[in-house]
Amino acid sequence: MYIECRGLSKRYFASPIEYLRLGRQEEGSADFWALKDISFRIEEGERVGIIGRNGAGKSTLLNILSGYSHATEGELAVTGKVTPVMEIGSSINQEETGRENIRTAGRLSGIPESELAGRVQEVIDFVDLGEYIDQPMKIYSSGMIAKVSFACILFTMPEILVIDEVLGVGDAAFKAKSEAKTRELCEKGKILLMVSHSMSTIRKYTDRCIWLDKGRIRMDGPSARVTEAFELSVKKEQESQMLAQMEKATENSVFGERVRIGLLQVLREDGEPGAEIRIHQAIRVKAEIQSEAPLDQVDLQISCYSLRGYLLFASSYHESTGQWLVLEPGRTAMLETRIEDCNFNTGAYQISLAARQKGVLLAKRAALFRVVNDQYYNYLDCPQVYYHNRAKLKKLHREESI
Amino acid sequence: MDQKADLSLPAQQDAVLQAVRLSKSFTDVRHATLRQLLGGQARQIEVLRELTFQVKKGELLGVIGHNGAGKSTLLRLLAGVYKPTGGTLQVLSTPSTLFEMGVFLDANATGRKYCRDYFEFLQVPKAEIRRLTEEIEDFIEIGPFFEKSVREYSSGMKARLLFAVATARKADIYLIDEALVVGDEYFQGKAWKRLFHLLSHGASGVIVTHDMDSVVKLCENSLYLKDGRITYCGKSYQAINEYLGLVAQKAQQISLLDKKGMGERVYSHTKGGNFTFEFSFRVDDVPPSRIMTIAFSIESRQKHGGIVHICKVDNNVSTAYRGVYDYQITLENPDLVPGEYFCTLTLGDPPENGEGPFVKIYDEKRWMRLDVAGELPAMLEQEKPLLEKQVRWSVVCI
Repeated sequence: MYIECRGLSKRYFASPIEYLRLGRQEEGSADFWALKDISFRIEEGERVGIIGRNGAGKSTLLNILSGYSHATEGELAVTGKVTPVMEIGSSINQEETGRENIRTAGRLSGIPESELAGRVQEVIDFVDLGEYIDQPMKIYSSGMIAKVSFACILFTMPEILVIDEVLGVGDAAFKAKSEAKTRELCEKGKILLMVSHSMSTIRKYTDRCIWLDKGRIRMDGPSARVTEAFELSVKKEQESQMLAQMEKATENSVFGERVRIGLLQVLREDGEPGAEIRIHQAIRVKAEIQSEAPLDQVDLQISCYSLRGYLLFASSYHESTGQWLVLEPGRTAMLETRIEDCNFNTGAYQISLAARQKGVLLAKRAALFRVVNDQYYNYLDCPQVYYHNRAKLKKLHREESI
Repeated sequence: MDQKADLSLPAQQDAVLQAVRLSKSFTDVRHATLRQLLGGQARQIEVLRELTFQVKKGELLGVIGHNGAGKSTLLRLLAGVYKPTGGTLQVLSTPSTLFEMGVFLDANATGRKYCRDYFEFLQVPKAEIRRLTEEIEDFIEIGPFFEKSVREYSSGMKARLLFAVATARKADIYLIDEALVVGDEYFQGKAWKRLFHLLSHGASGVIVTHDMDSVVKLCENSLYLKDGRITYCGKSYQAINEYLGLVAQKAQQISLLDKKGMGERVYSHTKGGNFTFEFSFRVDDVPPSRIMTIAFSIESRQKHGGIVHICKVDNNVSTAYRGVYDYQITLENPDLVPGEYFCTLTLGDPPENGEGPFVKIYDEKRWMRLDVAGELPAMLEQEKPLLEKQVRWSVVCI
């Protein structure tokens, strides 16, 4: 038993006229390839995940593999019966009760009449909807409809099981039950194909994973590796977008007419510029401020923002030292600040310096710096701050049981 | 069926939604005889029983509970899709609704037509409809599919379209049901950003969801519905603890002790000192590796929603023997800003690369409240930072 496809492609035509021109070689201008040149082979016993961004072609691929739609080009061989668990509520008759719908689903699955009553009861017990099971499904909440749809897979004797995003539904108790059932089915099924946006679900249920990107296969390999690469690529794209925004904001941050911050630099602990701070080292910030007019009661404020826009820390000169800054024309105020133990996550940050007099903004400037961390592994859901150097775990007591 | 308002409840000036002893029953049409129906004697199924609550302006109220508890019925009641069979409901303005993902009245409509129909129904002027449709097309990024029938959309595309349309115009009240579950990470990020933006500009609403993370992110307060009644109404993290407390725990290899106590306690820390956290766990089955990783994290909830994962410390410990282990974690002078935080304790199988997400978790306790006491310097009150770093200033004039 296997699934094999070669050069599988699916093209959506811009208009019916385009469709009639199928024989032509050129592509219409508004044509769209949902899948292009997909080739892979899945053997019996394999559990394969299919991931990708919205619109990458995942559902299109599953539809073709399940026989719900046809490819425009390429070859496909599927030996074995495909059982899809997809699109919640698609085959529900709203006027009928939950029980009646389940019985219909059971009949359609080919369960012999003699076994039907027992199997239907099994599903009803699993769904656990109390007296609602005998009410028309049109009064069901979306969660209840999802539960019924999912529970109907108990009727399947899966050869090729295709699951599309149904695992996220239900309350905590139902999730636990359905997870156990799914695992059972996966083990019984000869081939499993699963589409999900949850990388943890993919890692839990599959060994191999295919990453679709704009209709093409970008990666095909062990689930752990492919899901990590996918997450990394999504993160990198988000980060580069945010970094571009932050760089632009930093460039445009220079403000001040009569008062100017001529220089703002982030230095390493040893005083060298280069704006790359090692984790747990100190950050030094240097600035030069000049004014065209004499000003007193000036306060300086330093703020540090992360890439995602979180304010990490902020400090005011006046609140820290009790003093005010006095500016005189022709003189330069040289500012140096030192912040110990830079314990932030790896990435880019923005230091912003603002000069204010009685709350009125006089001048502002920002600079970027990076934090480098090779001391701690930097996985994707990293916290903002590392307290590893300040944490202690101590065993107080152990009582052994016999 | 008492239709009068409960006059003992003081009228709240800033409430955008107020329910007093709200109830909803459905007639059991299926099992009633015609005579019973005509005589008004058919059996009633009580879905919601005497709900009393309110939503203040700028507040998103969470609603959690098991399936069948009545959450979706409540939303439809608030939206005016159903009429109450008891109690009163006052809603300040027409809410924008976002529920029943995947149901389109005109199944053949294209994405564009759906937008037009939706806004025409709300009597939005033509020029604005055009502008909104363009914005929506931009936001959902589904390319040529916008001109194709929604029947050909994947579930993710439908989710994007429905979300974008329901949040296109500023409404005063939003009613959201499970809408945020579908979609890839990228779009969820966009959706969250838009929701936060709406919330920080005074939108109010009610959100029904099973995603506990969403509830804490978006809602300061939540209702826990059980069998059609409000079992708990208050801070979201407490409602979640109540709700999760009822999920049966199967026997585990390694389990935390006194989880209920840990959930009820409020830990405290004073600036400048050390923070100590004690806990115990029991090993019933020694894992083959004979070691386990203990991870302790602190998160903070931002003012307009969103959870920031502040720190996580982890260590490997030996679990070579069956029995009860008592441990203590100490954080030396964590530079946290005074405020409210949440702690999570996780016991898991050591991750493959040494540090990373757990593949297997033995047991976990989330949403433990930590209050950091102390005075916040005046300048930090406007925009609260995550940390309170000591900055050494030195200024020289030349």
